[in-house]
Order: sequence, then C-alpha cells, then structure tokens
Amino acid sequence: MKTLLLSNINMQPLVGLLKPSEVVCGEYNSLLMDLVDPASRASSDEFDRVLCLFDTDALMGDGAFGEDVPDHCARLIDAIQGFCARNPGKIVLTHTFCASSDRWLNFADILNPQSIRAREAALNEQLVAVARKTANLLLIDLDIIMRRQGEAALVSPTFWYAGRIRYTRQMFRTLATTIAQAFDAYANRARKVLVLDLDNTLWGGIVGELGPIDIVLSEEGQGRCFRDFQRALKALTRSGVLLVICSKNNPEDVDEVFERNKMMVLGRDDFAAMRVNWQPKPENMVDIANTLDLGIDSFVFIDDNPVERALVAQTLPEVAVPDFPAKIEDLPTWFAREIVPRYFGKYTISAEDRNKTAQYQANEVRRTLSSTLDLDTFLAELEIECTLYVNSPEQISRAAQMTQKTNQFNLTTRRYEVPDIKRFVESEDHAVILLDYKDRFGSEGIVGLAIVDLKAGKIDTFLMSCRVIGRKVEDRILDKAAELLKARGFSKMIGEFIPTRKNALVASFYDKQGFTPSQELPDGTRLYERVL
Amino acid sequence: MTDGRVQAVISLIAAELEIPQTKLDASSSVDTVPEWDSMAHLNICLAFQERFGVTLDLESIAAATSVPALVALLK
Repeated sequence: MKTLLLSNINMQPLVGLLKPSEVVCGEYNSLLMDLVDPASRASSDEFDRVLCLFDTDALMGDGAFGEDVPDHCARLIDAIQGFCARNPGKIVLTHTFCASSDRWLNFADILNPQSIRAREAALNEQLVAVARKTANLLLIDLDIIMRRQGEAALVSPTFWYAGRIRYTRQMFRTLATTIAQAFDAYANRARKVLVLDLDNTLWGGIVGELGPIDIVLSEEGQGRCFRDFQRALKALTRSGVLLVICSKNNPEDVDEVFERNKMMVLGRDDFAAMRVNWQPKPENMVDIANTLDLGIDSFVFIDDNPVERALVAQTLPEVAVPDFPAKIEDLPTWFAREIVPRYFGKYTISAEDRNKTAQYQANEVRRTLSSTLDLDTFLAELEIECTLYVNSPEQISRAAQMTQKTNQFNLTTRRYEVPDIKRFVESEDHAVILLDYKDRFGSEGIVGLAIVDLKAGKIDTFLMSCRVIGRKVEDRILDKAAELLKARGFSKMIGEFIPTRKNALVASFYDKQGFTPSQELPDGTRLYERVL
Repeated sequence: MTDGRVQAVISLIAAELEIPQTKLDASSSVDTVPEWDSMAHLNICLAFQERFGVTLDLESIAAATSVPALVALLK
C-alpha cells in the first residue's frame, strides 16, 4: 500500500506522521496537474491511495480578497471527480473547503452572496454531491477539526511565510490521526460491540445504595452529563453498534431503573444483551461474544472502575479498553471526539445498521430458547454417570479443598480445613456427601459436596464445581441428603443460603429445588424447608 | 544545565533528520550537516516549538540554523 500526497501548499511535515504507511509527496503545487493528467504519477500503478489535501485560500487566490477573478476551486472538484472515475481502483481522500477566517473582510460579508463564507458553502455542497455518488472518494470535514481545536492553535502565519506551511504540529498530528481513522471507517474496520458498565458510567452513584430513582441522572448538573452520554450512545446504535450491559449489580435493582426511572434515555430495547450478575466481567464478555456470535476483538469496554478495566485488558487483550475521563463533564465530549472516531468510525451507514440491535436481540432470544429446549436431549446424550460417596475417608482433603476454592455455586461459603472435614466424616452428627462425575467425554472426578448436619436436620454446606454447572446433577446430592435425614427420623430438610459477592448464581437455588423459604435473617441469610 | 539544553536540542534535531545523534555536536549547523536542508529546517522548527513550548517568529526561524542558535532561543 503506497500513498501519494498531493497539495498546493507545503504538506511535507505530515509525511513523517503518516508512518508507517509509505507516503510520497507530489511535486509542490502540482495538485491540479497531477489529477487531470492521465499520464501523471498519481494515475500510475505505483499508488493505490491519493491524499488531496489542499489549501482553500491558495486555491482561491485573489478571489479570496474579493477580486473578481476565476479561482481554481471549482476546477479542483471536477479534477477530483474525473480522477476518481478514471482510477476506480484507487481511493482518493480529500477534505471540505475551509478558508482562513482572515478572509472575512467585513461585517457586510454575512449579507453578501459573494462572500468567502457563501462561496465556501456553495463549493462544499458541490463537493459533497460528488462524494455521495463517487464510491472511491473519501471526504473528511475539515471544519469540524478547526472548530474543535481552534484555528489559532492549528494555523501558523509564521510557518506559512517561512515556507508555505499552513499548519502547526498539532494540526499535522490531528490530520494524521483523522486520515488513518477515516481510512479505517471507509474499510469498515469499526468495532461492533460497546460493553458498558452501569454505576458511575451510565448514571452517577450506585443503584444498590441510592435506589432506582435517586441515582444521578437528570437534566441538571452531573445528572445531565450522564444523560447526554446516554443520548450519544443511543445515536451510536443507529450506526450499527450493539450496546451491551455488563454490570455487577443485583438484576432486580437494574430492572427497577429501567421500569421506573424516567430519566433513562436508553431502554432495554437499546441493548443487544445484558449481563447483570456478580460473575467476573471477562467471563460475561466471553459469554456475550458467544451468544451474539461476534469476535471478542470487536468489543470496546467502558467502565469507570480502573480495576475492572485492568482485569478485562489483562485477561482479554483483544478487547479495547479506553481510560475513563477524570472529570464527568468531559464524558460526552470524550465519547464524541475520542471513542467514536477511534473505535466506531463508519463512512457509510446502511439501513441494516440502523436496525442491528433488534436483529441481534432476536438472535439472543432464539439462542436462549434453543439451548433450553435442547438441554434435556443434550444431557441424555452425555451419558452421565454419578457416584456418591458418604463419609469417605479417602476424599477428605479433596472435600476441604472444595470448600476453600468454590465461590459461585456455594450456598453457604463455609471454609473448612482438613481436620474439620475429618471430624465431620468420623462423627455421627454430620455426613459428608461427595459426588463423582463422569460422562462419555471423560471423568471430572469429585465435583460436588454437601455437608449435612444430622442433628439439626440442615444442609450446612452445598457446593458444586463450575465445570458441571447446568448438568442437573445437584439433585442427586440433595436426594442423598434427604435419604440420610429421613433415616434419622426427620420429616423435613432445612436449606440455607448465605449471600456473598460471588454466589448470586445460587440465590434462588433452593426455590428451584422445591424448598419453601422459612426465615430471612437481617444479614440476608435465608432459611428454607422441604418436606421429606 | 546548559549541557542538558544542548543535548535536548541535538536529540530533537537527530530525530527530525532521522540520523544518529553521534553525527551531531554542540556546534552543528545547516552548513555542517547535509541532511539539514531548508525543508528539514522547517520541520525542526515545528518540532522545536512543540517540544519546548517556544513560539518562533519568522526572523528566528531564518536565523536559528545551528545548534547554538537554537539553544540560545531556550534562554
């Protein structure tokens, strides 16, 4: 890939900044000739990209000072159009006409149909019309750059008079970045999925503490920063980007925000997927990538929490993890100026892009549905064989290790050492049940554990390894526990759930297993009963 | 302190000219360094402004065509 840079002014300082792509400067001020002459270097096979970065004032010549002389601007548009048509295999990048504000001559300009501003607007209208119908012309808006950073910072009279260099280093850097981003947008290299945290990212404060109404989200002050951010996110979905929530929260709290908080700009329908749980975010993101059937390298992750960002950046290096702005008032600007052009640049937006979220939501529903429908068949085909051990002296250290390591599928998270387990195994008051699992793919070994308190009629500990979650083998341990308790004369079995930061997965485990809630303690611990 | 400035200017010029710093010394100028032509000089001045936060004027761009002259602009 080789690029030719054409201009009517000195753009040499840009060449070094466009590296590592190979860029060659055309002859000084050969812009129009190079475009028009079919035998020019620009037309040769040597280059597949042509940058046409012109200076509007210089093209206008004395016309820029109000003289009634023909200028070269209209000729440039024709030349670009003709060049693109003759060279369909080359991509031509150019920008809009943008005259120096010094060409403002007087207050009368605003009313004058021949003023530079009026001329500039008419030229840009023509240029945009050409760009609309010319597939290999890539047009960027120079005025946006000037407005964002200011002409005073970008244009230098000193270097102009010293050597026909119109711009400062800052402008050359900005141009280099913008050109690279525009080519990426043109080539559709944008990322597809924006994964968003909730607390202090989509709204201010923590919903679990403030509640669904009192989170910081409003039309005033900080609340407006978040609301404007949400507005920009909503606009982004119309360019085909999928929004996804990945938040450590209780799903009920988040549901309430969507249902009750009128300040939310984004609704459930604006998200292609949501993962509100206590699982590590990288796990959720891999799960989302699988569900949406999109590569994790098309993900961008925005989260105010630097620890979460570091975890994702470390475990999933393909995910883009930009820093979060230090000041919340910078959030909407940061998003518009840095995040969108850098990760979600698009040069053309199709009708399909505008409806992408709905399309992927349908996919997610279908997949969830099909996976539940097929689960029983899938499990049957696994040929699962479980062996239960009760009070087995050989497995004591494995049992202790499981109580130490298991966080998610762990109803009470009581950590035991080897001597504790040994005591349970040997005493008449407790039973330690272990489950050994194998299927046609092989053996997983001991993956389930229950410690039953035979004096209190209660399940003291119940845990499963994540490897076999979803295989419905939990029932077998519970059945064994029931059998042991029944033999001791109990008419009911007591289950206990102690919530931790990591075990939300099993918060309703006993409900699903036919237990009835009997008591809730102030610390959140819940007791359950099941008749034997 | 002066040495630090000289070194900083030399390193900037070397980077802009894409030559090793060893090809430059405290007295190098457009007359002694073949790569340091008039276009390269403008690039050096642009980089100089950016790096040291000094605003050059037309006269100093024309005059500061040596390491000592550029270092002098930092005082």
